[in-house]
Amino acid sequence: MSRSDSSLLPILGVARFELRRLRSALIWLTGLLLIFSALALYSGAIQLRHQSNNAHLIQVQEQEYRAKQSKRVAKRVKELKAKGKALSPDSKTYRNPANLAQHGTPAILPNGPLAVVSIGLSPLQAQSTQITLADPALLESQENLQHPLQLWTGHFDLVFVLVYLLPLLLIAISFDLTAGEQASGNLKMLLVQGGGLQELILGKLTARVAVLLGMLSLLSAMAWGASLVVNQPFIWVRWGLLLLLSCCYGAFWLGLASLLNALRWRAANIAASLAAIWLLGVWVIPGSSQQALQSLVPVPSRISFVQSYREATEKVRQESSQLLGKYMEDHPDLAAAGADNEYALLQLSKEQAIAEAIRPVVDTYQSQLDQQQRVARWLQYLSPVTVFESALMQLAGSGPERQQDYKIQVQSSHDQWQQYFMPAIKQNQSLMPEDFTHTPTFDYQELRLRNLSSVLVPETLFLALLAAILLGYSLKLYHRYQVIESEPA
Amino acid sequence: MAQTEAIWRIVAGQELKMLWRSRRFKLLMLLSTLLFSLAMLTGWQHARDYREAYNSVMGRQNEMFERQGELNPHSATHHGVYAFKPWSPLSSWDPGLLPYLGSAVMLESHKQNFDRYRAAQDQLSLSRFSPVTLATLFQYLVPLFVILLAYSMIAEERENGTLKLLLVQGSSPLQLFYGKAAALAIALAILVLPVLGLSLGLMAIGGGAIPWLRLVPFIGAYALYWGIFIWLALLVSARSGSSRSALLILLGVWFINALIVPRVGLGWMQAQHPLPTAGEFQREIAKEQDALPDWDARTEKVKAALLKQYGVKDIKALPVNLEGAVLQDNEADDTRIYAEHFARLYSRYRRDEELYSQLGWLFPTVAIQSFSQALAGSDYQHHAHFLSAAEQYRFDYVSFLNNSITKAQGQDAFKYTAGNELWKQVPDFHYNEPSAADVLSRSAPSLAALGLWLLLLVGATPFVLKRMQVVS
Repeated sequence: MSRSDSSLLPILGVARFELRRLRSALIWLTGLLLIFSALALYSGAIQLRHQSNNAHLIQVQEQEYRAKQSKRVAKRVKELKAKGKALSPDSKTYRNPANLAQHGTPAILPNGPLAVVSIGLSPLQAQSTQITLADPALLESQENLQHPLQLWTGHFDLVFVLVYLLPLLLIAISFDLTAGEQASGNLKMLLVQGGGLQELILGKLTARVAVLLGMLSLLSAMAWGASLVVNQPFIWVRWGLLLLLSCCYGAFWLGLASLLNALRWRAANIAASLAAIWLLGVWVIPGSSQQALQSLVPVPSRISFVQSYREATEKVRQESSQLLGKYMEDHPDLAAAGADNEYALLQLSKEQAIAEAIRPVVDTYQSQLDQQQRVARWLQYLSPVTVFESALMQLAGSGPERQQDYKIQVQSSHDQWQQYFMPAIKQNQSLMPEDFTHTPTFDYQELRLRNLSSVLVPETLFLALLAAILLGYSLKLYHRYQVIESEPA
Repeated sequence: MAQTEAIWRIVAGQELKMLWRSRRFKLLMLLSTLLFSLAMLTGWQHARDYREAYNSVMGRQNEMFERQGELNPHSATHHGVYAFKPWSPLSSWDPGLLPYLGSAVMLESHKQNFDRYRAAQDQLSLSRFSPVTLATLFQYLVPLFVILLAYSMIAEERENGTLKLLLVQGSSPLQLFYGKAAALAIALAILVLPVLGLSLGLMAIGGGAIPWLRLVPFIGAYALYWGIFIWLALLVSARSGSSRSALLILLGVWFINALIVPRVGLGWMQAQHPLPTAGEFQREIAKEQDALPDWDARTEKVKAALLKQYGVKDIKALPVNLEGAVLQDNEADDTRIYAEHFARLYSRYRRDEELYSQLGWLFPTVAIQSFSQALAGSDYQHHAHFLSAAEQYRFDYVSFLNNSITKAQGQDAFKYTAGNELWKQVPDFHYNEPSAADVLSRSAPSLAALGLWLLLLVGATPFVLKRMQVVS
């Protein structure tokens, strides 16, 4: 037997013994984890269905609109053909390409790659944007209906279980790693029976790592099952990375518990300290950083933004009132005759003028938001909890980065939409029935893991390094640990 | 009796001295003071900024509306106005749902809009937990502060053998208990009273009147809530086998109250009765609007009614403008359809909020959250009250402008224009939030739940202490 084998066996023996000792606690904790995870996945599935239903309905409505308009145009074309008249240009508003261009096309953000696992910020984010010829700053986004009380409490998803509950379960089985046995004198007895303290500690930690891996395997099976039930693809690469991050995060909490035990504190003091550190990590540090950041780098008031928009609109309205009667401006669909490209171009120029007038306000708003996000990216490293949560939301596609990417893709799709329609509008062409099926459509291209690596790699390394430092330092302290000494602190 | 009083006072004095010397107390005080300072300053700053923006925007909007010049009155209703939600003074202490609710709603003809511009849309990814505000510190941090000070107060005395000694010397378990509870209450007062004083000072400096009728029950309810945790922590400490198990039980209670119940409770309600999607909601409205008579059919209907009302046979003989009346008739139909659908949705939100607050009978944190948000004006009921006032105003001002066309007999309704004199006659939107009495009567069950919890705990104390183990 090699030397490494001979040192490994006692460690595994201790680990087996620890698992037997923790058996009743583990049954309880696993039961709790199962219940919480099932609830979390159920909640994730409900939210996913809510979002999918809305996306589906938006698409159906769009198809219905186009089918109706296409039929109307086909009827008109048939009439013109029967009368032997030119098919284009036509004075009918519904055949004007500007009409379809300004109706627009919905740009729907699909559910994220691991939507059933993480709801994240998605209920607060735009799910659909109607792309028209209007300036991107004026495009209307639509969020799905969400209960304000639910937004306030937050959703109970699997990421919540991993970020908030998993550490508590690990704390519950690790806070008296050696403190309880030290206080009762059992530690001395165990060492007298043979084996070193290092083997004992490594064995105890091995048992807890095995518990962590077991819990994560259980969650993997449940998450996979849930994605099958809701008929969503389960991206194993992303889930694998999520597990890797969870291992680092779990190891961080085990390392912390091990460190406090190595300091020879009393079990109750260790439990209180770990609970306090947990609270600092999940709420106090991120919450106060967020409050401080929003106060130090404030975004302009949203109601001031509304008023600036209104003033710009009013100014443009007054300047354009000479050009067209107000009746046509407010009821273009009722103005059967004379509703031609002049009107469409007037609308476009008005929207352009409004967009230019409010651009300084929008730019200030966006630059402050960007600055907040930039600082927030650094501030998140104040708490490993925030780092872990941010990484999980990015993997699952429920964080701010995906929303930002969606906005960029909407902008690019808007340019494409404009390039498609402007020549036809300027040349006064009329729509044909097939035009309703040939317009550009928006298809969100998922952010690749490669694009996320600049954020994910440092976050993973940070968690791994932190866990390694804590575990390494605690083992170093155990090396100098005095089993027989004065009363622990 | 005098001796009993003396003993609990002595115990309280001793406990306070020990607390004062303990590193744990100093650390908790330092951390809590830092957090309260941050919450006070950011809350005050946010309230000040919002108030300034609100006052400026209201003035600019009213001026803009009154000076829009020559315009068709119905076109003016299409341009619309915004109703902005005023700041409720206590909401800087407890912003509650406000970040998740719109701060403005566009009021225009033909439709009722959703409130827009939610502060939470700009939320950073730093925290998914509640923001650090005075209310969240009162609801989460103060109970934790109590737990971390109290969990060992009796259990440790038993573990050290001093509990038996104290009882042998003539103290009764009840006197000991009251003494320790008084010490905790004083420690809490040392932490909280300066915070309350400073926050009131900031509120007064901000220029707003202090809403005493809401403030007094607000603080009273928190005192009950903290009392529950003081009592509970000491009872658990008295009954637990060790200070370690007392701590674990109390942390579990805190955790379930603060984190699990709100999320799971509301998630469960949503799962049982899912909300309609935005698409479904709009589709239902559109379906009903499509079923309304078109312009020609409506004109015929209104014409017949007017001819009958004025007893004439020709529209030229009518003393009113037919098209103006048709516009208003259309508006009444649109308003009715939107009102029915929005009422259903909003009553659904309100019902869920009421159901959620009933969980307060089982979980005191839910009770205090519901009561605190109601008093601070940051719950959904207040928001629904604002939306309802805004919608009423929308219908009134749109009707006023449509009716101004109806009065312009003999003119082309769509070419007819009015000037600044008419816009000045449109009253401004002024919103008054519900009275403190209304809010109190509505939120009384949450307050009663807190009172009942404390009463039960106080009532159970002699029985629990009778079975208390004196030695471990």
